[in-house]
Amino acid sequence: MSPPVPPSAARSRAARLIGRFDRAYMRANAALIVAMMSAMVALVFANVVGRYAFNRSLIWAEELSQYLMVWVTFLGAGLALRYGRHVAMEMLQALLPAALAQALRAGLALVMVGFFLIVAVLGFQLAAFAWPQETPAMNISAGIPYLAVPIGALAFLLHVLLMFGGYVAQRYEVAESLDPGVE
Amino acid sequence: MGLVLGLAFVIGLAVGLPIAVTMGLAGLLALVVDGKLSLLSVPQRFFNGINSFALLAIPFFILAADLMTACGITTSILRFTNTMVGHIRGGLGHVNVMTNMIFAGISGSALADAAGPGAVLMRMMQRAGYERHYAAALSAAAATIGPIIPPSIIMVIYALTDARVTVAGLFMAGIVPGLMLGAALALANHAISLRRGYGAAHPRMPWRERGIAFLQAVPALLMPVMIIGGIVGGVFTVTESAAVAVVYALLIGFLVTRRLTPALVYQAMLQTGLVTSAALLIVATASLFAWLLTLLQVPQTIGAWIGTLTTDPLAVLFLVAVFVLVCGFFLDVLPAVIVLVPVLAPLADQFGIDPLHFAMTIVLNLTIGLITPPVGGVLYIVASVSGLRFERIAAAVLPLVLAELFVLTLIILFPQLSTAVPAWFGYTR
Amino acid sequence: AQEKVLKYAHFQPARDDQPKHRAALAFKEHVERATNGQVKVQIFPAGQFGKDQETMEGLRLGTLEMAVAHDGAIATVHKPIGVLGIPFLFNDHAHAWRVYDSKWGADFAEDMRKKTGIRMLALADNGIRHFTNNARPIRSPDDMKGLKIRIQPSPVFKALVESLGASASAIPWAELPTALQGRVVDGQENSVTNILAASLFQYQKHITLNGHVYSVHAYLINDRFFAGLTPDQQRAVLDGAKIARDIHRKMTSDQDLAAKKILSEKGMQVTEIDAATVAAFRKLAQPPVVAWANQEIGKDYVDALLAAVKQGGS
Ligand code: NA
Ligand code: NA
Repeated sequence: MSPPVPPSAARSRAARLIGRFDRAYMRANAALIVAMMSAMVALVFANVVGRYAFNRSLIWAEELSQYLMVWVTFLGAGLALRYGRHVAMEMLQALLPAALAQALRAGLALVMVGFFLIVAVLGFQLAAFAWPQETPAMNISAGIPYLAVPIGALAFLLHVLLMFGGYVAQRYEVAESLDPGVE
Repeated sequence: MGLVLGLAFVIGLAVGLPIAVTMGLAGLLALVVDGKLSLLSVPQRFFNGINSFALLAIPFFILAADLMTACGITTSILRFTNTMVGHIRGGLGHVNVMTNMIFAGISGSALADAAGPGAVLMRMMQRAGYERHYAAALSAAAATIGPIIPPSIIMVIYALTDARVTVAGLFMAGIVPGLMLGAALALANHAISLRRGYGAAHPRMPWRERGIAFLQAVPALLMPVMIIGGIVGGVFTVTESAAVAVVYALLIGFLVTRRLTPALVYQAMLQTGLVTSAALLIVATASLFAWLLTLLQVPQTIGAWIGTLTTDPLAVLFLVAVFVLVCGFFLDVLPAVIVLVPVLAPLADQFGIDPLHFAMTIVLNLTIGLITPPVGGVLYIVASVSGLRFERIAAAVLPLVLAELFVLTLIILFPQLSTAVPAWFGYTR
Repeated sequence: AQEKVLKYAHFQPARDDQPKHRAALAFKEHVERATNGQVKVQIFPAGQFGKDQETMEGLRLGTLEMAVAHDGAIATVHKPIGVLGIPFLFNDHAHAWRVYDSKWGADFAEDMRKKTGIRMLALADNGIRHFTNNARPIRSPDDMKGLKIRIQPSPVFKALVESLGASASAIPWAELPTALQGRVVDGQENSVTNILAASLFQYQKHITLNGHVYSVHAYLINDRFFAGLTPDQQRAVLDGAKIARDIHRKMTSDQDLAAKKILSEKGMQVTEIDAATVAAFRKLAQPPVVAWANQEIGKDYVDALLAAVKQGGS
C-alpha cells in the first residue's frame, strides 16, 4: 500500500495532469483544423486541375469540401475562443470595477457552457433525425455532416471549462506572427 | 417570440457575450418561448447557414493573404508605394492609403488589413512625427478599402443572402468605389497634412528606383490580376480562384521569396482556420436569427412600411442608407449583412433599383460601420495594436469617416459607378 | 375555432411570371376563402425558408407545413423520386400528366407518406430539360462527345451525361452563369423556365430540344398538420393544390411548347430533332440510368414507373 498523498500535492498532481491533457487537447484540435484546411484547398484545386488537364471533375469534391468547412467552423470555435478570436462588445466590462467585471465574465462562461450543452443535445437529436437521409453527391448518411454541430459544441464546452480562469481574466493564447516584418 | 429575440440579443451584446453566442442564444430562447416550432431548427439552421460552396472562398482568401504576408509581401508593397508617393506632402499617409489599396486586391478582410499593413504603417507614421491618433485613424480608415476592392468576404456573404447578385458581379462592382475610397482618403490626408504641416517622407525618387521596387512587388501585384482576370476570363469560379490564390501564394513563398517553411504554413492554416471559424460561427448563428425574423414576417412589414413613405428609388436608397448607417454603429458587419440583407434586398425589386447598385451601397455603408463607434471592429484592432484609447482614435477618424460618407453619397447618386464595370464584363441580370 | 397558420415555401422569385409563385398565390386565395380565413397561408418564396434539404426536413419536422419542391430536393429525404430522372420516358406533357395522376402516382405518394410523414398532394412540371452549349449544334448523340456539361450534383445526371460521351461537372446553380460565361464548362441542361430565370441564353449559343427529362415539382404537406385539419379544411387544401397544380402545369408547359420561339428571340440557335434521333438518344442514355436506378433505388420502383409509362402512353 502506498503512503497517503498530502492533499496539496494531490491537487498539484491533478493540476499537472489537467495541464498536460489541455496541451494535448489543444495540439490535437489544431492539427485537425490544419488537416481539414489542407484537404479543402487540395480538393477544390484538384477539381480545377482535373477539369483542364483530364477533362473531368470529382462530383463529390464540392460537397466534401463544403462539409469540411462546416466542420472547421464548429471544431475550431472552441480553440478560437482560446485565442480570443470571438468578437464581443466589452465596453460594459471595462466600465465595471475589476471584481464585478470578473464575476460577470464567469457568468458569461457559464452561459456559454449551458448554451453549448443544449446545442450539443439538439445537434445529436438532429443527426439522429437526419440519419436515414442521404447527401446528394456522396450518398452518405445526412446525419454524418450534421454531427459537426454537436461534436463542435462539446469541443467548445470542454475548451471553456479548461480555460475558465483564463477567460475570466481575459488571458488568451497568443498567435505567432506570420509577418517577417519591415527591416 | 419577437420580443424575446430582441431583448436577449440586446442584453447578450451589452454584457459582452460573444456576438456569435448572443445571436444563437437569442434564437434558441425565442424558439423555446414560442413553443410551436421544433428546437431542432437551431442546429439545423446553424449548419445550413454556412453549408455553401460559395463560402469556401472565405477561408481560401484569408489563407492566401496570410501566406502572402508570411512571404514578406507587405514589405515589398510598402517599398514600392513609398518610392511612388512618399515624396508628396503627407507622404507616409499616402503610402498608407496606396499600400492598403494594393493589399486590398489580395486580402478580403478589413480586420486583417488593419492588423497587417495597417499596423506597420501606423508605427512608421508615428515614428515620423505624425500625431499618434491621426496615424491610427488613417490606418483604420485605409483598411476599409479592403472589403470594397475585390476579393471581399463581406461580398461573398452578401451574395449568399441575396440571390439577385453574384459574387463575381459584386467583385466587379467594387472596383470603382474602392478606387474612389482611396482617392477620397488621399485627398483628406492631403488637406490634413497641409494644415498640420506634415511633410514628405523623402525627396522624389528617380524612376530607376521606382522600377526596381516595382519589380520586387510584382509577385504581390500579380495576385489581384490573376484573381480578377481568372474570374472574368472564366478560367475558374470565384471559390476556385481563391483556392488557386492559395496555391499561388505557396509557390511564391517556397520558390520565389523562399521565406515559407512548413512550420509557417502550418501556423497560417491554423490561424486562418480559427479566424474562419469565428467569422462563420457568427454567420451560422446569425442565420438562425435572420430566419426567425423572416418567419415573423419582418422583411414584408418593413418593405410595406417604406412603400407608404415614398416610391422614389433615390429616396428609398437614402432612407436605407441612413437606416443601415445607424445599424452599422451598433452591429458588427457580418451579423449585419446576414440579418439586414434579407430584410432590405427585396426593396431593390420593389422599387426598380439595380440589385448590384443596391448591394454596393449596403456593402460600402456597413464597411464604413467598421470605423464608427461604439461597435467598430477595425477601430478595436487599431486601438489594441497601438495601445491608444479607443475614444481618441474614434474622434480622430471622424473627418475620414466624412470623406468615406461623401463617396457613399456619390455611389448612391450615380448607379453607373457600381454597375458600369460589371456590365462591361457581362454581369447583369 | 382557432386560426391555423400554413407556412408555404417555394424556391422561385416572388414574381408574377413565375409558375410556382403564381400557383402559390392561387392556393392561398382559395384556401383562405374556402375556410373563411380559418387556415391562413403565409408564402415564403425564393428559398427564404431554407435550401433544399432544410426545407424537406422542415416538412418532416412540422416546422414547415407545406412546400413545393423539385425532385433533387425531395431526394434528400425520399430517394425513390429519382426514378423520374430516367431519361426519355414521356412522349408529351399529356402523357406525363396521365402517369402523375394515375394509380402509380397515388401509390408513390402513399409510400412516401409512410416513410417520411410527408404527403404528396400533386405533381406538376419543372419543365422539360434540354441540352444547351456554346460549342456546336447538337443534331445527334455523336455531337455530345467530348463536351463538358454542367450538372447538378446528382449521380443520375452524371450517368445520363456520361452515357452520351460527354463529361459531367457539378457546379452550383448560383455559380452557373459565371461558369458558362467564362466557359468553365461548354454546356448545361435545363428547362426553358430555368434558362430564362437565370438568363442563361446570354452565355449559351445552341440549344437542342431533345427533352431528356421531364423534371417535376411536387406539392408537399406535413401529414400530421394535414391530419389535424377538419374534413372541410382538408378539402380546401386538396382543391387548392389542384388549382395550383393546374396553373403551374399550364404556365410551365406553355413555355416548354414555345421553347423554339422564346429562345430564338433571345438569340439562341434552336435545333429540333426528329423521333428517330430521340430514339437514338434513348437507346444510349436510358439503359445506364435504369441500371443505376435499379441498383440505387430498387427494381420495384423502376418497374412500377415503367409499367405506368407504358400504360399511360397508349
Ligand atoms: Na479586398
Ligand atoms: Na460601427
